[in-house]
Amino acid sequence: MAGLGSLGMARADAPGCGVPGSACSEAEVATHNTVRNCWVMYSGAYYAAGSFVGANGAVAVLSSGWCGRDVTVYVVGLTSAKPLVKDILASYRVGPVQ
Amino acid sequence: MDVVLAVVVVVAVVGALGAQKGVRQQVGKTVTAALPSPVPPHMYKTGETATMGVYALTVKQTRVDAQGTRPYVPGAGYQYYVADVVLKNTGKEALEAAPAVQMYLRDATGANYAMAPAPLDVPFAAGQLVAGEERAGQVSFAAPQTAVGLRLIFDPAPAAGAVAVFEMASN
Repeated sequence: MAGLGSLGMARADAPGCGVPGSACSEAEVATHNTVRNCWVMYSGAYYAAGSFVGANGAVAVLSSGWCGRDVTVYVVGLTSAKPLVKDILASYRVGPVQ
Repeated sequence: MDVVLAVVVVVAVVGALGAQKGVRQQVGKTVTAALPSPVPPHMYKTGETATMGVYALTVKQTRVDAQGTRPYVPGAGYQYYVADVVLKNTGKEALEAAPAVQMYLRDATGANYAMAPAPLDVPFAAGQLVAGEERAGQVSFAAPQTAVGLRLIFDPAPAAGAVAVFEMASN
């Protein structure tokens, strides 16, 4: 599909990785570590978070340095912004981290 | 008897020639018909429902938010495009809704724009839909203010090749 590249999915991913509800390993999520190809892990799941880091003119919720990484500790440590980030994450979940 | 056989043979030969001619004509017509440009995919309008396998997606309405509200402010030259959607699981087993990888915008040039956080009343919640469950919510995207021909693409099984295309509000 033409849309895959901009949404951060790659054909090199393991079967099912990036398919809604399918599990991905931490190592696979870690390869999505650029602004245009940004997934993050949070509380045992992974999220297609490209737009979180300001891609395509969106507001930057996370710095690009979080791409490919587990943001759980970061989000837990937030104070006023925690509800905002958790609300956003709720819409962007793809599947569990195995 | 010999005369009857001869007549049968002649009829058969003529019939075969006629059939071959007919085939040639059919092939010629088929080639001619295939030359025009491909038929564009069906475009769903606001309020219509696209059913793809066990997914049934309805886009209730779409709108543009050019300004945003802090902390959601689009980047320079961009604006938010918001769609109110309802997704229903019409199957007999649970399925996963993950709009961040199942929905995106595409403009007339073929550029794609992923979901982006924006001020929303009811963000669409990703996750499992049990059999028969219906979930409503909003999905938002950031795309250039100058984008032309924006469409909302619903790709329920990424990489499977089948998508539904919805009209999207523009400027």
